[in-house]
Amino acid sequence: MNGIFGLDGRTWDIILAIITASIKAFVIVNGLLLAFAYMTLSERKVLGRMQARYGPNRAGPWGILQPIADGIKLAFKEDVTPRQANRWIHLLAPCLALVPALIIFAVIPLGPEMEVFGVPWTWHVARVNVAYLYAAAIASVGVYGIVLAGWASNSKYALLGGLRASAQVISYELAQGLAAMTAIVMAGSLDLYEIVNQQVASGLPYALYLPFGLVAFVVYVIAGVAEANRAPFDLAEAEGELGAGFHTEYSGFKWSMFFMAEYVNMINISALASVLFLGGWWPIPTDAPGVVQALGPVVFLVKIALFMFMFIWLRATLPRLRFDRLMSLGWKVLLPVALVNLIGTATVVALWPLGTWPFAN
Amino acid sequence: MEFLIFSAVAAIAIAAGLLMVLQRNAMYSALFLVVVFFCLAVIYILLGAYFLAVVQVAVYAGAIMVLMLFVIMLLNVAWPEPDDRVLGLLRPLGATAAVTFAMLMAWALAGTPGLPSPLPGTSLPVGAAMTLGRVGEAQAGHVQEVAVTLFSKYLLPFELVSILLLAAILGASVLARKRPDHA
Repeated sequence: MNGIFGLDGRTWDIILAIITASIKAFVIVNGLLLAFAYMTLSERKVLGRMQARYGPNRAGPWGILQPIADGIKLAFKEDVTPRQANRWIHLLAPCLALVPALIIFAVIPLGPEMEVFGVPWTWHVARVNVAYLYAAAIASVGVYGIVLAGWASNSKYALLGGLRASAQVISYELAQGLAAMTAIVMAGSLDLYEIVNQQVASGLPYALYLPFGLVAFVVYVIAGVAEANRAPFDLAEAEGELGAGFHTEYSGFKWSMFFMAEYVNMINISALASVLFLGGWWPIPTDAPGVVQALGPVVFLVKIALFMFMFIWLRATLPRLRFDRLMSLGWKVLLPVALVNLIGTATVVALWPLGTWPFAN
Repeated sequence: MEFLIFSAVAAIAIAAGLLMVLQRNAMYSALFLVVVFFCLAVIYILLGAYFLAVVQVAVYAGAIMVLMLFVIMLLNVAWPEPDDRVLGLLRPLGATAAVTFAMLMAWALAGTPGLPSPLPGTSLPVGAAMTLGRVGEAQAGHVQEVAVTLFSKYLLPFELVSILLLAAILGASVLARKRPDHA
């Protein structure tokens, strides 16, 4: 493409990269929001079945138009800002909750890098050499939305919800990070694509590297449920005690932004857990012929869907924890377990060369 | 391109820094400080130091400032107006600190002999090399590089800092412990 419009090859490469990344970002953001909409429907349906009732089944066949009806309702609801609230921060908080949730997916490798008719094609927006740290850092920024919502509403229920959320998220971030470090030590890389690649190459996902991989996987998932503020760890919006917690004073579209952020965060945590411990597109070989490689994203999405089902299942099954129990679970159980587990992993990786895990089956 | 991004981000960082100092509301101050941290992270990315950038966001914006907000929310401070006597003492101290910091920065950038230049392959001091973009991705961006430098050349300071942090943790847990005789 040299010389077109008097621009050199490097400039064209940059322009091409920007266009590709923008299209991918557009597709991913809209895909996430569509997944959110249908996640709410499937959650209500599955919860309904688990509680021996039908769930929504009136809007369209099997109720598939229900999310659209909900969306229209929420968009046209009156948007109330309490008179004593801080208006700017009240408006900023839902944006700060949603935007980090949406941009994490940029580094998640959905499938193997491949060639379509000779043109290289990747399923991720960006491959960063510190991808896991990027995801963790952006996720930890998401908590601002909840904290500021609690503070700006000038309501005691919202404030208590915000305080609970910030304490909980900071506590569980540690256990989650240490559990993820186990997978990172095994792969010897922070690059999520490389982590999946190592698992596919070794033939086993890290969750099956017994015993350390499995322990780390379980810790990661428990901490992930707490990070997403989902039942049984949804103390920030414990409706029995706090009204609706941090979003008590929100309505209309601002409220639905918090709703979206929660579900997109669940998708992110599921995707990261799949990448770190279930091997992403494993068992599809990374260097398979193109048609087989194209199945990689399908396998990956199935794994995410299984995690999402687990989130719903937990909500239907487990009662909410008391707040002091939640904190002692995080600090006195998960954190020490994750720490010892990481030391064990590091010892094994140091004693045996990478890829020759002694206890794998 | 890099220069345009750098100028925009630097301008935002300086503006947010000034706003942080000039605000009376502690919550606004904290939020403007977060903006400054994000601008610094962008500058690190421009320099190819990806690791530093994400750590900046994760540690400062993601953990420390959330704790600060936590404290501000719990105390719900309406800043008391400091009286003139305290201000009279603080102003010269603040001015001295600012001038000292500016001189220290100038000294580091001028590459005075005696300051270490920890990046191999460049004769420039750190600050200048980074400003001119002479720090390659392999030197500043990769985690391995940071780890090797930290655990070989800077092992002693690293261990000293971890002992300091350990002492702080112990101190905090002693202070926070419930004393049975006072309970």
